[in-house]
Amino acid sequence: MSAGAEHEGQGVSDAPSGPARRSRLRALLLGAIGLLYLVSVPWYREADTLPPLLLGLPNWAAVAVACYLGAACLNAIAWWIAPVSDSLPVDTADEALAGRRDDRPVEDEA
Amino acid sequence: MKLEQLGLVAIGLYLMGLLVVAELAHRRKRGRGASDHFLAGRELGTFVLFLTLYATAYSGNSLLGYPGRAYRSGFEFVMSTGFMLGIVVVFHALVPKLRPLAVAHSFVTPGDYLRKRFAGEPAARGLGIAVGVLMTVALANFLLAQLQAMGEVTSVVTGGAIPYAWGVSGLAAVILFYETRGGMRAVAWTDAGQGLLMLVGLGSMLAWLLSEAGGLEGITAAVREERPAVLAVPDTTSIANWFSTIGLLGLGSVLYPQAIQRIYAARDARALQRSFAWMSFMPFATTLVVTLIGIAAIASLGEGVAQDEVMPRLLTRWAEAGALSTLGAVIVFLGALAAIMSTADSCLLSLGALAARDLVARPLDDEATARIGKRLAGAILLAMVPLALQGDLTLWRLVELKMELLVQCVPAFLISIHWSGLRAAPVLSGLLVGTLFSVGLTLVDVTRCGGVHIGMVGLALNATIAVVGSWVWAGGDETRRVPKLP
Repeated sequence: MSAGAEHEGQGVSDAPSGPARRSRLRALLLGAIGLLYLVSVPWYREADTLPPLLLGLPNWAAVAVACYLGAACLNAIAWWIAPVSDSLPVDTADEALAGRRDDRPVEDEA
Repeated sequence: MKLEQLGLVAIGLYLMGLLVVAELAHRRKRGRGASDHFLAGRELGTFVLFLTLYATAYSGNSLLGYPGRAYRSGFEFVMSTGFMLGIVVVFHALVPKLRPLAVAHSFVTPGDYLRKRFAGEPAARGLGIAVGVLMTVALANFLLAQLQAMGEVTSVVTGGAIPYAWGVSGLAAVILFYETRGGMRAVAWTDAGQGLLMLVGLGSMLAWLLSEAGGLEGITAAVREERPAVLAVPDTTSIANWFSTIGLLGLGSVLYPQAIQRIYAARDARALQRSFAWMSFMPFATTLVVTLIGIAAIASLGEGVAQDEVMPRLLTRWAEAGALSTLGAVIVFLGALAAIMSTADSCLLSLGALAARDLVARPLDDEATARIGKRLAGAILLAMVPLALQGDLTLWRLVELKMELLVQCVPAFLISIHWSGLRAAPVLSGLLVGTLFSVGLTLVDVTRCGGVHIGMVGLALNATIAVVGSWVWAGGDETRRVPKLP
């Protein structure tokens, strides 16, 4: 099935839609950031040993900086595709219309 | 021209610039309501939003406290790059859910979210007040640190021509003026200029240090001679502290009221996404730079320098190297002052909003709410100035104390926005227990448990009570389950 047909909802493919793909990619990116954070802290090295230098820094510090740089790049991509919206999702808007929740400004409940 | 004279002229010009910006922002006001004053009419675009987020997140602590901390801890303080980036990562858990709610319900303060989320529950009012008090105390604490730093910087850069006490009270008066005159718009515009000043100043200083020491390898070699222990792999307690600090600052900083208000103040979702994407790289332009500056100071200043004195001492030395260096040192001092003032003004604005809306319970967009907010902010600032004049806590300790309080609000925001089963009463109980535990142990000088911050232990206790309590509550009576929050 072509991407266009999938987009128009004419097929019955199990392939994830654009938002679902982005959501999966974002979860992967956030997972990778978590791993980089885990590696950045030198818990797996022998304490109190004097290590060789790497890029002018003790190698464990250089690894930490490299991990944070990698995490920053992945985080920037994750923000670029993050599902941030200025309007509530349709289902919750429906709930509001159906009277299950209200959409008054919060001041009325203060 | 000497550092002191140039410093005096530069501070004068800078303060005049701030007053002009305040006047321009005042003329751009479109209404007198709370959302125009506290959120700049919700019209911050990517460029200003990014720079105001940057200038607010990186404070006097970042520029004056962190080099001192790196000077004391050595290479281990590269963790600061991790925790500042961690803040931008943790925002993923809040922004996508909070932004649409904030737009739909016209939120102005963090408490507005709580009122909506826990509407109709008996403990909701108590929870709102408890969170409001915690945030107010944490912000007042943060403001105190900025006031101390302002006095320090003005005194050093003018060679004592403006004494510490005058620096604290005079600059506090300037901030109060432009914040009350121009509101969030003035704060955001001045933040943008202040953010640029910080970047230029720090970049110049790092270039000087690297050229003086013969690059990064030269700095590390000199540190190895002076204090070899700081090159060694950290021990178990330090490793625990590394993880704990990332957790404490990552989670706590996301709950800065002024940060939450910037989520509300963005023009649109796209501006927020882009700003946070760019914010990912700012720890490398700021925190990593000040860490390297602090490490370079180990070799450059030798032993025995007080933590908060490291940056001023380095800058004074740099200024002695020639006319161009003097100009560079003044730019860094001004950058530091800009960082401090931009954080202080944001704190003050948020304090006004929190006090008027969440503690005094004023209506949402009433003109009187903005007016009361301004007065309360002024009163809090006046109360903080005498405390700042005493100045007996190090800047780093002030940061930690503030975070230990803020982090107790995590269940009320970060868990409640993802789990509709969370109830107000258990959240309030957890918050009280976590806060009493953290503050109580801090007061008897127990600040860490095996390297882990007491605030993080308090948060574990707090979150357990909130989650288990909500489960038990809902399990006992199915009708007590609340529908999902729109």
